[in-house]
Order: sequence, then C-alpha cells, then structure tokens
Amino acid sequence: MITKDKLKEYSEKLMFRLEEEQYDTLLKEFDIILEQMKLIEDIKEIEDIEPMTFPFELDNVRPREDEKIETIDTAMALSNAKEKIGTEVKVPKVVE
Amino acid sequence: MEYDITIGLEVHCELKSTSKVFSPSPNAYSEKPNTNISVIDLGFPGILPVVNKESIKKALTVATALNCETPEYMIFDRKNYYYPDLPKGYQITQMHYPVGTNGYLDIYVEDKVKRIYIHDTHLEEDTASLDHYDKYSLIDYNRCGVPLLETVTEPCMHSIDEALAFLESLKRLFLYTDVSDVKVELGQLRCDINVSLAPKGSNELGVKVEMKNIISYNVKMALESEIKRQIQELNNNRAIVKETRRYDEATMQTYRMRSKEEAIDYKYFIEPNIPPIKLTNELKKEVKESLPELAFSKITRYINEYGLSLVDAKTIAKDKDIANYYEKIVTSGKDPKMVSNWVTTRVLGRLSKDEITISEFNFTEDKMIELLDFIESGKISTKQAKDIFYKCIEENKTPKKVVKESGMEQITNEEEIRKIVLEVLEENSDVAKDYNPEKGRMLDFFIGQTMKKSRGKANPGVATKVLKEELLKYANR
Repeated sequence: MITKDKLKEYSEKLMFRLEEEQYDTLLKEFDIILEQMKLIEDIKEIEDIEPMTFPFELDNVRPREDEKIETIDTAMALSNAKEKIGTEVKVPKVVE
Repeated sequence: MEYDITIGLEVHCELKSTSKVFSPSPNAYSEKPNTNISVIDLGFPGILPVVNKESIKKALTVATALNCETPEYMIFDRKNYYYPDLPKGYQITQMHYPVGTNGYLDIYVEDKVKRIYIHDTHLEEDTASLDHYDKYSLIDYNRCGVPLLETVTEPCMHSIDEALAFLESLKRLFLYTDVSDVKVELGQLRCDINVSLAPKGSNELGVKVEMKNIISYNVKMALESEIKRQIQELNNNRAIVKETRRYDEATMQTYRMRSKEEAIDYKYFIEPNIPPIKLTNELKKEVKESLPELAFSKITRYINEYGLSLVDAKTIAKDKDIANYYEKIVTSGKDPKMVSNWVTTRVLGRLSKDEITISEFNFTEDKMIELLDFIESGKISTKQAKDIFYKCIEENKTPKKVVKESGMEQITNEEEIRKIVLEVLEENSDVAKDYNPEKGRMLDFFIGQTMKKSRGKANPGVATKVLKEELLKYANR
C-alpha cells in the first residue's frame, strides 16, 4: 500500500523533496502503476521463466581494445557547472 | 570478558590500463582536476559505455590467481544511489555475476599458514574524488571510471594480524600479476572493513559493524580503535548497533555514518547498456598460463628448497623484482643462503638508502654473480667483497674492474705466500726462533706481519697454514 508518508520517506532517501500537491499527483499516478502491475500478476505459468535482461542472445560482443584515447576539453566540461573554483566543480558541502 | 573477533574485508584496487574501464579517457593520475574525462565519465545523456578488454583480462587474472570460479559471461549491474561523486546516479559494477566467486588465498600469518576464503571479486568503476572545505565541496571527475576491482573475503579472519597479513598478501598478488601499481598514497588500495565481536567460544557471530573507505595504511588503527570501542560497549552491557561507520584519521576514532534502518537500497539491476561478453575458454586458458609464481609459493619454495628462514624468504618474496634478482643469482649456481644474506642485507639496505627500486640498481645480477665468484675462489675476502660492492655502485663498475684497479685480488698461491712468509721470518728471526706452537699470540703476530707485507692481499687461511709449517722448521733449526 503506497501512502503519502511512504512517498515522503522514499523521496527523502532519494534526496529530493516535492511540494504537497506534487505528492498528491504522484500518489494518484501510483494507483495507475499498481493497477497495471496487477495485469502482469495475472499472467500464468511464468515461474520457470528467466527474467529477460537482453532482447537478443549475442555471443559475438567484443570488448573495446585498450588503445584509443578521447577526452573532452576541461572548459567545455565545466561549462555545465553552476559554480566552479579553478578547474573543479563547486557544490554545497556534502559531509558534516 | 573475552571476545572472539571476526573480520571480513572488501578491498578496492585500481587497475592499470591505458583508457578507463567503460570510456576512452585516460586512466592516469593527473594533478590538474577534470582533465582526464570524457562525456561517459560525466554521465551525459545518451552515453554508451563500452568495456575495456584489458580491464576484463586483469580482473580475470586476479580471479584466477585467487582460485575463483569464473563465469561464462562478463555481466554488469547498476548500483543506484545519489551522491555528487557519481554523476550518472549509478555505478556500473558486478553484483549478480562477479568475475570470480568462491576462491581462496593462502597466506603466512607469522609462521603459520592460513587460508583466507574469497566470497567474490568483481569489476566496477571508481567514482569522482571530492575535496571538502568549510562551506563547500569540490569535485574532480578525473577518477570517474577508473577500473576498480573489489575483492570480498568471507568473515574468516580473527585477529588484526590476520587481516593485515591478508591485505599485504593481496597487495603483493596485485603487484606480482602486474594488474595494478597499488600506489597506496594515491588511494589505489582502499578497504571496507566488517568487524564483529562475540563472547569467547560462542557459535554465533556478533553484530556486524562496517567501516567504509579506509585507506590501506589506516586499516590497523581503524581496527584497533573499533575493536576497543566495541569491547567497551559490550563490557558496559550496551548492545552493538548494526551500522556503518567512518574512520577519522585526525582523532584515530570511528564515527557513526548511518544505521541499518538508514541503509541505502541500491536497487541493483543488470546494466542494459552492456551486453554479456563471453569469457572464452581460450582467454581463460591464456590468463591461467600467464600467471607468474606468486609470493606464497615462492616463500614456501625458498624455505623448503633453499633452506632460507621464513623471515628472509618473506623479505625476498615481498617484491617480485627482488625475488627475480635473487633467483637469477641462485640459478647461476650460487649458494642460496649466501645470496640471501647479500640480498637481504647489502642490496636491500642500499636500495633503501638510495631510495631506488631494484630495476634502477646498477649492481645487476651479473655483477653480483661475478662478486660471489671472487669470494668462492678465495681471491677476495668477504670483507673486501663488501668494499668492492660499494665501490662498484659508486663508480658504476664491474667487480672485475674494481678488483683489478685496486689490486685487491688475494694471493692464494701457496708458493707466492711462502716467499712473503720467509721474508717475514728473516726480518723477525729473533722472535721466530723461539716459536712455540702452543703460544697462539706469536702466530697471530706473524700472520699480522705477513698480511702487512702482502698489503692485505695474502689469503689468511693459506698464510696461516704456510706460517705454521715454516715457523716449525725455523724453530727446529
């Protein structure tokens, strides 16, 4: 059973916070999600079926050779950062 | 009250390679932040990680060296959590099908052999590094995506000594197999430590406390401090709480990070962007056949075949290149114990003094063999050999050249020495005629005179023998 308190607990764990009305919307969306889950639950005789992770059975996947080097420019990488000091990205302090 | 200690380790080691494990940016240390990075490391939208072949091979090498079972396919998982050092919001790791499982490593703890059981070893990517300041933190993404091998032991160690011996042996294994430079000062070897205490003789394990991200040189102090803390808690009838703690280097104590209730749910699932990569039998065979003899086997062989002490055997096997240096000299036919003495005292002493490695040492195996040849043939004394050893290093010359230049070569020819002895006896005939074999001091006097006259070059053994013969003749005249 998903409740608003549960959603708040999860969002806390995932480190984000929502407005009250956003929690209400999310709760309604969960009703739909759970109903759809029920549809899956109704599928019979799937106990022995392995979960499918990849759509194709490939035996010819080759790893990359350890040769080619590609980097992006530091300035370009940092252009996404809201704040920076030197060539490092500045964020709010993350340890107590 | 007395307690049984149980320790399990999760050891993270950065692997060597040209490029990173899932991206083509350089796997290299850089003083300048955010230079060795690609869009994959930064977790830009639409990125596709592609696994580096070399990292797979190195991970498989360690799994094989740790006597692990290896899977048919290399499969990765996503470990989801949010933290600024993880730009994608997940770490690519191996949870369901690690590259190695159910292995072991035999190690020496003091003079006893102990088998450490390996739960698994798996390949993953390292995170960014964070620097924390008073009011903010700074992120350097250079370390993002560096190949990291995590080796997890069973909770099978029962003392700090065992844990440290295992860590040292594992470090040596990484160096022997050449998968990592294990630069501890650069944080290339870090541990999570699980430790629990139970009343002595108890069949059940105590409550497990985890200490996160301990640099290998802090493991001893972190364990000492945490065990002491747990003993105090238990002695005061306070229950140990299942939690994660961190070790603070400045105060040398552990502090609570989060409890079991606050444990992160990582929501692992198989990484869909990397298809399974087959670990072929050919590759597994190639890896197995290219494994070098490891330190444990070398130590055991040095003791059993060469008659070395455990301490000397360990000292030599500690560094693969030292072990190779030692073995090359021994296999040339030199006495293993004599070579061991030279290597563990003179050679290692000199390397330490000059702060260099054996590969930078100018006194090569061939020079050592030449020097030992001189001693064996009696042409120089052990004392002279030491002087020659240092002179060779200082002047970067061969022992042959130094011996020749300094005229140090001993006279071992009996007749040559006899000539000198006779001259000495003539010059000191007053004393010589009163020679009494029972008075050792008189013989010592003549040995001294002979050495002086030969400028130290007469072989003392031969000189003594000749002197005894000639003095008797002289006294009986």
